[in-house]
Amino acid sequence: MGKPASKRPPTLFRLFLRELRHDYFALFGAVLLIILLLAIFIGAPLINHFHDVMWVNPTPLPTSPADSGTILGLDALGRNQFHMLFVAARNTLYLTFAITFLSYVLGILVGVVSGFYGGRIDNFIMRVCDTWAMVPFLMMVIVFLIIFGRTPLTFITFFTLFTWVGRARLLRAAALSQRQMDYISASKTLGTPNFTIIVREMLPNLVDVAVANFVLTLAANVGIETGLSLLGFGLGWDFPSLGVMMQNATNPMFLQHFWWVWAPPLVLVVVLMLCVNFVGNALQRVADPKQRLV
Amino acid sequence: MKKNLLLAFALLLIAVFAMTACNNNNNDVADVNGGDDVAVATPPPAELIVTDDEGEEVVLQAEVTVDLHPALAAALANFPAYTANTNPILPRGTGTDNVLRIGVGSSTVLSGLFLRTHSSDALDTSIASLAHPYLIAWDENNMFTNSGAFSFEVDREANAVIMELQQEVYWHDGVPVTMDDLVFAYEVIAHPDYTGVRFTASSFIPNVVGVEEYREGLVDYISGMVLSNNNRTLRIYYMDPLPPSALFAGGIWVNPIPRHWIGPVIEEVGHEGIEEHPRARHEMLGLGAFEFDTIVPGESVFLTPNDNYWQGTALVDGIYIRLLPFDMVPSAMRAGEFDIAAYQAANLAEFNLMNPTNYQLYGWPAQSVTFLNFRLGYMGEDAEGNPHIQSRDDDHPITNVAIRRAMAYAFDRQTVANVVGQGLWIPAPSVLHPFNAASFMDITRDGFRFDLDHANAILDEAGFTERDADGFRLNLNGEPMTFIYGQHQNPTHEVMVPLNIQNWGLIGLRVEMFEGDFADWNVFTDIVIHGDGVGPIDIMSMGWNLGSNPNPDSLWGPGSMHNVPRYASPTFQQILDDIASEEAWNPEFLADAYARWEQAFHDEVPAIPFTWNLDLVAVNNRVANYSRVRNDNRSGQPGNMGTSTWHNMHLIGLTAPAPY
Repeated sequence: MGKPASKRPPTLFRLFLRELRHDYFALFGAVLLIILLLAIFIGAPLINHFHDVMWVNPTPLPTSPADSGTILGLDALGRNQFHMLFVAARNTLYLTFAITFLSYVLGILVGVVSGFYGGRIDNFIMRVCDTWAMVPFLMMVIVFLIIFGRTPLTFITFFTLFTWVGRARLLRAAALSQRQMDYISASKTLGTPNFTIIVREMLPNLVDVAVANFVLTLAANVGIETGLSLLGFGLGWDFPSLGVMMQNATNPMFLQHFWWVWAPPLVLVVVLMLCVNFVGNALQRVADPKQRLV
Repeated sequence: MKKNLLLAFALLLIAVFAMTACNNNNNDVADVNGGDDVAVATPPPAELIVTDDEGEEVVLQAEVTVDLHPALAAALANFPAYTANTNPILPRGTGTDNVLRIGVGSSTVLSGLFLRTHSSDALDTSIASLAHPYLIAWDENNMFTNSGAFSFEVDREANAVIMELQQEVYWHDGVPVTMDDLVFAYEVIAHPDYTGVRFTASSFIPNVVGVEEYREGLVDYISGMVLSNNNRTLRIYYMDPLPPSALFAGGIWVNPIPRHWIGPVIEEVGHEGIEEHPRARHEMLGLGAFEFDTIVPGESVFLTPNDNYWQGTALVDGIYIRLLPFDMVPSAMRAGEFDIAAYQAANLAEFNLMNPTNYQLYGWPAQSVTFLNFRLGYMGEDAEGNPHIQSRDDDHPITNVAIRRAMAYAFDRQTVANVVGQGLWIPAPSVLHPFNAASFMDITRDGFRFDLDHANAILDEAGFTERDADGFRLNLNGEPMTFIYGQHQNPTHEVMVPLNIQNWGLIGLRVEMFEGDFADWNVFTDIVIHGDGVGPIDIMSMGWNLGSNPNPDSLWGPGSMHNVPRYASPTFQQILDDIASEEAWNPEFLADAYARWEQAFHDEVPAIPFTWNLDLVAVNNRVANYSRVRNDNRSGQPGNMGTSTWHNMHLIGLTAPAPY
C-alpha cells in the first residue's frame, strides 16, 4: 500500500507547475512555446500538403505583403515567406532537437559511467574529455561539413561529436554527488549488478538536472545552428532553415528596403530562444531545491 | 559597486567608438617625384558634342561600332559611354589622393596567378593586363595592325608570321624587351611539362615547325622560330597553311615573358613548379604602365606606375584593386569607397532605389558569353600524346541528344534575363556572338524558345515514356535517371538554378544540385576545367570573356581545356578543320563554314548559349578620361574586370582628392 496521493512527495512535473505559477516570465514563455510548437509541427505538414513552398517564380525584387496579398510577402524567388517560415522553423527545430538529444545520449553514457565508477576510470575518461574539448568547436564543424558534404546526417553527426563533452561533465558531477548516497551503498551491499544500479536507481535521480540542462542547451543550439546557416554552412538550398532565411539580411539593399524577407525569421528565432530559456530556467530551479521560489 | 559598473560601461563605450572611428585604408603610396604641369582631361570628340534645344551642350553617346541586337541597342541608349568630366586632373606626386580605387565584385578569393602564359581565370588575366598588356595593336575589326610596339605581318607564301620590334619597351626592372622573350614564351607553352591551357590549335603554337622535336626532347629550342636583327625580328614558320583567323587578335600567341626572370625559376623548380612560384604571382615582372607593389593574398592588389612605359606615363599615382561581394557594390560606390566598380545587372535595382548622385553607370555591349554545358566526355590523349577529348562511356542518359534538346527547350532564359538582367539581357539565339562574328550570323534569328510542351514531346518521341513513382522519367533501360547540376553562386545562378531544376522537373527530369548547394568558384573550376575524368557534375554553366577571334576552336576544339562539355564529334571536327584550312581564305567558304557550325551546334547541343548582355560599370564623378569605346589606334588589350571592360588605364585621371 502506498501513501495517499496528497502525502507523496511532488513529482518533477508538479514542482515545475508550481514554479510556473510563481514566475510569470516562465509561465508566459511556456504557454507561448507550446502554441508555437503546435503551430509549427502541425502547420508545416499541412502547408506542405497544400502548397509547394519551394516553387519558384522569380521576380526582380521581393514582393511586399501589400502587393502580393499574402501575410508576409514573397522573396525574390517568389516563395511565400509566411509558409516558408513554418517549414524553416520545423527544420531548424528538428535539427536542433536531434543534435541536443544525441549529444545527451552520448553525454549520459560517458558521464554517468565515469561518475559512478570514480577513481582511475573517472580520471582517464575526464582527461579524454578535456582533450576533446580543447578542439575549437565551430572551426571543426565547418571543416568537417566541407569535407563530408552538408546533409542533415553529417550536420547532426559532427555537431554532436563536438558538443557532447559539456553534457558528460555535468552528468558526471551529478553522478559523483549521487554516488556517495546511502542508497547506492545499500544496493551495492545487496549485490545488485552495477549496471542495474546505474540505470534503475541513479539515473532517475539525475533526470531533473538533465532535463533542465537539456532545455537550456536546446536554446543555445538553436542559436548556433542558425548562425552556421547564416554564414553559409547550413544545409543547402533545398533545406530551408531559419538561418538560411536570415542570410538576406547581409545584403544592404534587402536590409533597408525589404524587411519581410529577413525580419520574421529573426523575430521567431529570438522568441523561440527566449521562451525556451525561461522554461529552462524554471526547470533548473526545480532541479536545485535551494533555488526554488516555492 | 554601482560606480565601478558605470565606469566600466563608459570605458567600453569609448573603446567601441574608437574602434569604429579607425579607418583601415591601407594604400601606402611612395611619393613620386612629379611636378609636371597639371594635365587636362581629354574632352570627348568634338563631333559628339551638340547643342540641344535649350542651348545646353550635350555629349551624345558614342557611336556603337559593333553590330547589336535591336533590343540591346535600345537598352544601351540609356547609358553614356564617355565621361564628360573636364575638371583639372590631379598631377603625379599628389600621393594617396591620386590613387585610382577599383572594386571588383567576386564571390571568391583572388587566386593570384598573373603570369600570362599560365593564367586563365578572368580576374587574374584582367589584373595582369594592367602590368602586362599586349604589345600589338588591333583595329575595330579585331585584326592586328602595325601601330603597336611590335609590327605584325603574315607571309602566306613562306607560311610564316613576321614580327618586328618597333619601339623600345622595357621590363619593369629596366631590362629591354626583345623578341627572344617571345621565343621563350613559346618554349614554355610548348614544353611537355607545361601546366597551363594555352597549348591549343587556336594559339597556333602546336602548328609551329619544330615543336614536335622540341616536345620529344630531341632539341631544346624550336627550330621554326628564327630570330634576326639583334633579336629584334622574329619569324615564325608554320607547318600547316595559315588560315584567315591567323590575322585576328587573340589567335597567334604574341605575349612575351621575361627569360631572365622566369628562366631561373625553371632551373629551380622545373616547368611544373612555375605556377606556384612567386615570380608567376606577386613577383611577376611586367612591362605595362603599372607594376605590382603590394598584394594581400586573395583580397587586394596595389599597383604603382611604371614611368618607362612605352606609351607614356600614367596620370594616377597608383591603382588599388580590392575584391568585395557582389551585393555590396552599389552601396560601396555610394559611400565613395571606389572610383570604378563593375556593376552587375542585378545591382541595377538597387541603383534605381538609391538614386545616387556621386557616380554614373556606363554601358557597353558585353564581350562575354555564358553557356549552359552538358558533360559529355573527358580529356584524354590522342595517338601522339596531345590532349584530345574522349566521349564518356558510362551510358549516361545525358549523352542522348533528345535529353539535351528537351532541356534546352525547357530552359526559361527570358525569365532569368528579365529578373536578373533587368532589361539589359536577351536570350542568345546562337553559339556565335556579335562581338566577333557579326558578319557571319543573322543576329535576329530564333534560337531555342521556351516551350515545355515541345520539350515533353521530344522526350516522349525519344522513348522516355515510363515514369517512376514520383513522376520522373525512367531511362531507356527502365532505370531512374538523375542529373547533377553544379554551379557556383552569383546573383544570376541564384535565380537560374532553382528555376531550371523546377522546369526540368516539369518535363519529368530529376535534377539535383551538386552536394545540395552552390559550390565555391575555385573548387568548381578545379572540377570542371582542370579536373580529370568525367567528373561528378553533369550540367554546369560557364562564362567566358571573348577573344576577337571567332574561331570556335579555343572553346569547342577537341584539344582545348576550355571545352567544358568535353564534346567532339565528326561533324564538329570537319567544320573546325574547314575553318582552319587554307580554303578559308575564300570569304564565301568561310561564311558557309560558320553557318554550318551554327546549325551543327544547334542540332547537337553540347551546350546552350545563355544571354547576350550589356556590361555596366559604375564610375565615380571624380574620374576623368574614362571611355568605353574601343579606339582603333590604341594598343593594349582592354583590361577585363569580371564583366566590365575599359582600356588604357594610364590615361585615366582623377580630379578630386577623394571619390565623391
